[in-house]
Amino acid sequence: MPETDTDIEAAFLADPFADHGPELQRLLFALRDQPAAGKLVLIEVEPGRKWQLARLGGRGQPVERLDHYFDDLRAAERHVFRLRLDERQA
Amino acid sequence: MIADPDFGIIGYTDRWSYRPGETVSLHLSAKTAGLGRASLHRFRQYVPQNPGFELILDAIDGADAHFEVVPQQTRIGSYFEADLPLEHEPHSGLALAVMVRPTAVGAEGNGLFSLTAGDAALSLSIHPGGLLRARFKGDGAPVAETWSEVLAVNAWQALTVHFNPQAERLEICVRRGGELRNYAMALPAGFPAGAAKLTLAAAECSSLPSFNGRLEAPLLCKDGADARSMLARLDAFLDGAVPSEGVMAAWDFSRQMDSAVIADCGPHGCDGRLVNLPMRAVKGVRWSGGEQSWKHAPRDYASIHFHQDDLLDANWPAATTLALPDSLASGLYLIEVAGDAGRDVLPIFVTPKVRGRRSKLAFVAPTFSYLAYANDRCLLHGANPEVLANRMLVLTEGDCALAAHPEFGLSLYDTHVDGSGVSYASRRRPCLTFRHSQRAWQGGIGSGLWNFSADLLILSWLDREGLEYEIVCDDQLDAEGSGALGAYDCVLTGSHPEYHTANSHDAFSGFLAQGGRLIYFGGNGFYWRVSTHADYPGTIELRRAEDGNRSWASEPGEYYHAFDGAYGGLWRRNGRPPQHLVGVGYTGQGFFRCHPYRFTGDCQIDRVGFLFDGDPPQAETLLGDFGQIGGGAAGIEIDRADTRLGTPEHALVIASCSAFDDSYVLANEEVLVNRPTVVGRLSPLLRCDLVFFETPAGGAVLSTGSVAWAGSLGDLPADNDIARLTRRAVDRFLDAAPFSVPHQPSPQSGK
Repeated sequence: MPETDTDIEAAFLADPFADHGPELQRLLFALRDQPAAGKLVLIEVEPGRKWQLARLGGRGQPVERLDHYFDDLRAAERHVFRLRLDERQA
Repeated sequence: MIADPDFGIIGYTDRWSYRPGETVSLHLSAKTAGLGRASLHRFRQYVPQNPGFELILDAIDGADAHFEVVPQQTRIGSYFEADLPLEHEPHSGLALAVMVRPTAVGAEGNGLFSLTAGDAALSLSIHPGGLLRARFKGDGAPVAETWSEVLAVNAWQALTVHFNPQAERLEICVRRGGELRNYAMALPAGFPAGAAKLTLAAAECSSLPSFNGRLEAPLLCKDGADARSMLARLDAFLDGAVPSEGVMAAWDFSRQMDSAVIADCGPHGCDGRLVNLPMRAVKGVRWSGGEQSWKHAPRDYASIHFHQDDLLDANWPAATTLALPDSLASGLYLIEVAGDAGRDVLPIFVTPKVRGRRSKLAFVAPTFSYLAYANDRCLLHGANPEVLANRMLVLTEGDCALAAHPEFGLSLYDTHVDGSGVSYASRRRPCLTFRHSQRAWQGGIGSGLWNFSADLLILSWLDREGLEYEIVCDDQLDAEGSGALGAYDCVLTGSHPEYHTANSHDAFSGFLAQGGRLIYFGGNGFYWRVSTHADYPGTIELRRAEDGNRSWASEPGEYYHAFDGAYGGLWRRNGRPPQHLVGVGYTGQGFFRCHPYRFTGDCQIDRVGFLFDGDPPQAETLLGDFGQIGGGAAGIEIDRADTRLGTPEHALVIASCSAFDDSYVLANEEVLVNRPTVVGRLSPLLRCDLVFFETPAGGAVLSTGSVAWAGSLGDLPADNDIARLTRRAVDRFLDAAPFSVPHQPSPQSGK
């Protein structure tokens, strides 16, 4: 039975670092395969403990730090996954 | 204990390796001027703290220095310059002819040409749309400016500039596709006679970035020849005829391909200089595809490719020096430079005065590989490594500092602003990825340790085990070749010794030919060929030719190095597959998760009994199911044994990992016809082999074939299966008892 979009998204949110099925992997490639300028990334502010959301400026430009912090990498993946999905659907 | 760099102060050392008693020159800059202190620390261990790591160092008493640091400027961008003895010529007229092929134009424009004398300056710059801007400032006169002809991007065209201060006139002519376009402007009077400087690919008198593109056959005449006669001289010069009549200077870029000096073919000996190492050995106007090497057809390669982001030398003055004690033991040292503005931590390697005196065990620091990755900006503006990483990119403070300082230059993984690949990497600039605190997406999930910072775990393990070692760098191997490692019984590599010159490669093969014992701790080692040159110390040249995993590809016809004429690219394409040297060679990569090996039946063979203290594991037993790099000992960049590529027939595959996830992909050079079996769970070639073999001279090789081995070796608890196996290998490899090649080939496991 084909996976629905909701199933696919739920699979990622359940464990962003799991081995994903082909439909979810296809979606992830599409979400991740974006130009560097404007791409959301993380900055490690405390080794292994705290990460800050940031946005790449592209060639020759500084990184823009955003006021959003995570204490878990999976939580950061989920947050950015939702943001990218929203942007894609907008 | 020293803190991680915050890059409020940023620095570089004049070299990366020193001997005891030598002096380190510290080139420093800071956000704000202030005072600081440099101190020297011997690296001992980098210990996992979960999370993070703790540095264990020994401070070196008496090896410190105070400094005053101020903000420094870095001039990035390559160009050509020559001093001209203009006695009367400016008044009677000068004419320049040159072939031009712009490859990118910045929003603010790029300098193309200038002639300066005293306060007077004539300059040309190229701007969006290919517009040329001419500016002239005479002695004491206001700036005159005009816009003229359009240069096409990615096309060769001839440009002539006639400058006649006496007639108060400037004429510009562009020839493209046989059509001439002329433009003229009136000039105010006032260009002085006397010493002048000609600059090409930059405008000395402006703040514009330098030119992106190729130039060929610049020719300067002192007569008032018209555009057509200048173009005729230029055409003859392109064909190799050294012009004579009316010529003041002419620079043939096909000559002295390996030099920063461009000899003047004209009568006045106005030799020019190349600044910041523009790319040589590139196709020129006359290239037809008939030859592929500049040595075979110099006229085909009479062009130079300039970039606004080339950088050979940051040229910061030394803020202070640090004298290394004469008795300093060989090892890795960290120099902390800390002051009012912040701190940086600069690694240096200290090699022994006399090799092999303190220890017969050596670690070869892969400094060429550290340099190739230095200031890797792929994650900041490159080919989207998030897809390769299979997770979000995590930046360090070093990455953020790098983004804020484009003037620190690029890595061999980056492309220039015009999209062409970066072929030169220099150490004479801040290299912010060469720090103990650097993490990278290539380091897999977990610690993110990669390259230099991953190698710290190998050195940590040596210290933890109480094994004395000395350090030799790729640089010494390159300088000395096949005999460079002769003082040692056992040599260890880093986790990713990817880049080698012919000489540094010879040092390993020469060592094995003399009975040496080698432990290759890495993956994707001995992969790319690079060259060095005496005129450019601390610099390597690379061509990403023909094949292999490439973040960019060399242009067709540009596979031969300018430094030495060598055919660049993979060592495998140069007849030296890594399997031939170390029994395994690159087969694929994945940068997400690592996996354990499984022992094979070969581990029960007596020849490798020393690895198990006489109690070998059963086949299928797991090895290295843990680690700081991706959580396993097998992974990241992986190698496999293959007798067709040179793995000795008698080599044993002691353990292997073939259970890779689909974030792993097969190496490009293994794909002749693409097929849907290039990912981890499907490709039979995607495996990581732990290989042992004896050499005919009584030596032996143990190869892990995995970048991630170091992440398990340096993990806690210290008494783990990877550490035990490695320790037994080192102990046996230091034992003088010779190994012998078995008479009959052993059973092959998966080769």
